[in-house]
Order: sequence, then C-alpha cells, then structure tokens
Amino acid sequence: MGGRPLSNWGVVGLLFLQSIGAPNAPPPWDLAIVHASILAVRTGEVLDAEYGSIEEGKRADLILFDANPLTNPRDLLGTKTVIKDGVVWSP
Amino acid sequence: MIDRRAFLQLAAGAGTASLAAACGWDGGNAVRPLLLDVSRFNDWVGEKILFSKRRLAPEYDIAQRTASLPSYFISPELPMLQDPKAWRLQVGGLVRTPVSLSLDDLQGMPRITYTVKHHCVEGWSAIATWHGVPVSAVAERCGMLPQARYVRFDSFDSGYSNGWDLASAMHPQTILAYGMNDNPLSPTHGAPLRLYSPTKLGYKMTKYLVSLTFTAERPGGYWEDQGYPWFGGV
Repeated sequence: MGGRPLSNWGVVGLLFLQSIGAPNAPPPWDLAIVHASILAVRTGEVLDAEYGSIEEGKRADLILFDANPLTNPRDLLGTKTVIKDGVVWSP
Repeated sequence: MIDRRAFLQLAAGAGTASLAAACGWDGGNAVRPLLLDVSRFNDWVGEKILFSKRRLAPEYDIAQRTASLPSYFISPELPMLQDPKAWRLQVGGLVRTPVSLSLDDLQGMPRITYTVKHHCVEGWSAIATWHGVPVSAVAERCGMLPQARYVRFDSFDSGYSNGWDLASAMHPQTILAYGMNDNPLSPTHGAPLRLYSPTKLGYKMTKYLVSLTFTAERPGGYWEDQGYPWFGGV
C-alpha cells in the first residue's frame, strides 16, 4: 500500500478497509465507498473541464434569457435563445 | 449544473454508514446489501455518465509523477517469464486473421505515451507515464469482426483475467503498455506487457498478458467473478 491518497474520502474508505482487517482482497461491498469517492472527484473534474465557464474548448451548451429567471421564475417562459453544441436556436 | 459538493455529500452519507459498521455496530450485515446497491450504482455512473468514446482522461506533467506506484499480483511469487524472448501475445477469437505478436512487433506499431492518474479501488491514486500500442491498432491488424462485442484479456499470473466491453477497449487511451516512466515495463508492473487505461480502476488492467480474445459473449474476470464492479470505470 502506498502512493498518494486520492481524497479525504478515499482515505476514509481505506481506513475503513484496514479497520475491519480486510486482506488484499476486500469483499465487494467494501469497495463501494472508495469507488463512489473516486467517481465523485472524477465527475467534478469532467464538469470543470467541459462545462462551468464560457471559454474556448468547453461545451457550448447555453440558454440566454432576456430577463433574470432567478428573480422572477415566470421569466423562464419568456424569450430565450438556446445554444446547443455551438448551434444557435433563436425563438 | 450538478455540484461537486453534492456528490461528496452523497459519498459522506455512505461513508458514515460504513464507519458505523466498522466501529462494531452490529448492523454490518444489514448495511452490506445497501453497499452492494451503491456498488451497482457506481458501475452505472462509470459507464453511462462518465464514459464516452471521445472523452479523454486528463493528462499530467511529467514533474507530477508519483515517486512510486504500488505493485500487485495474485500469484504467491512475482510472475516472471522463464524465456522472455519466446513470449508472444496471441490475438484471436472473432477476428479475420489470428496473430501472434512479439514485443518487437508491438513496439513497431503506432505508439502512444501519456502521463495519467491511476485509481486503485483500495483508495490510493498515483501518477505515472505509460508507453504502448492502442488496443484499437491491434484490433485493426487482426481484422476484428463486426460480431465482436467484448474483449477478454488473459495473463500468466495464476489465471488472472479481465473482460472488457468493446467501447472501452477501443477508447483512444486504452493501450497495451510495454513501458512505464521512460523505461521498459518491470516485472512488478506486469512485464512484458499489460493493459492500461486511465478510464478504469486498476484491477481492470490485466498485467502479464498472454492473450487477447474478441468475443460475442461478455467474459468474466478474476475479481469481477467475485462481485467486483464489471465495468470498473472512473
């Protein structure tokens, strides 16, 4: 055992395996937490890399509103422009 | 947008349950089915959400390499070839022309080098550089047939094997690695040839390879047959 810990939750999972005296072959149910923590971090990496900001190289999936639907939810129904995979769809 | 914190909170909730079990709480047997459900959900997330034929796992700078990568095999002693020169990779199954490839043959095919993060299901990760030939190039060389849907990878490590879906095997970062960190692959890491992919958990990457077989039926695997996630994506 060695290397760099993946994340705090990876360490928690590892401590869990060690605390129950798991040998080199932990039973499948003991892997679930560590695997979930790895997937959580990887999902965050993918979201950061592909979405989350408007810049070159990221997915061009956007909805443009004429008014702010966060202040008035009815504005969700108002005029909007959809950009999906870089293609502009105007009303 | 899905928030990273929400995922971590999900993991935290499950972590609390398992720690309670670890501290002697008598509900261990009650928690196990739940954890197996979590495991099945994990495999679904890995395959249906995270995996894409085109999405590449992030690459890292050589300066970020981890000092050492733990090694792992199932034989009682380090598996090593008696006669390395006689070693061949047998490629067969649903192919037009079964081939037998030497290390020289493989090194003469298209070469990929990347520095990526390795994720072990025991909870550690490590960054290393790998050198090898894409599995897709091997499939092309032997004329993989359209009926092929899976690939079975066999080793000389006490029968260790893995089954892969075709999309994962044909992913551009899935390689048969003969080198690591600018050196030939060492016996501790699966010499002379191992499977490598930064989109899979470590146990899916068969070391000490002897054969690669294209199949129509889903192959099992050493850990997969013991209940470990079959897709094993990250």
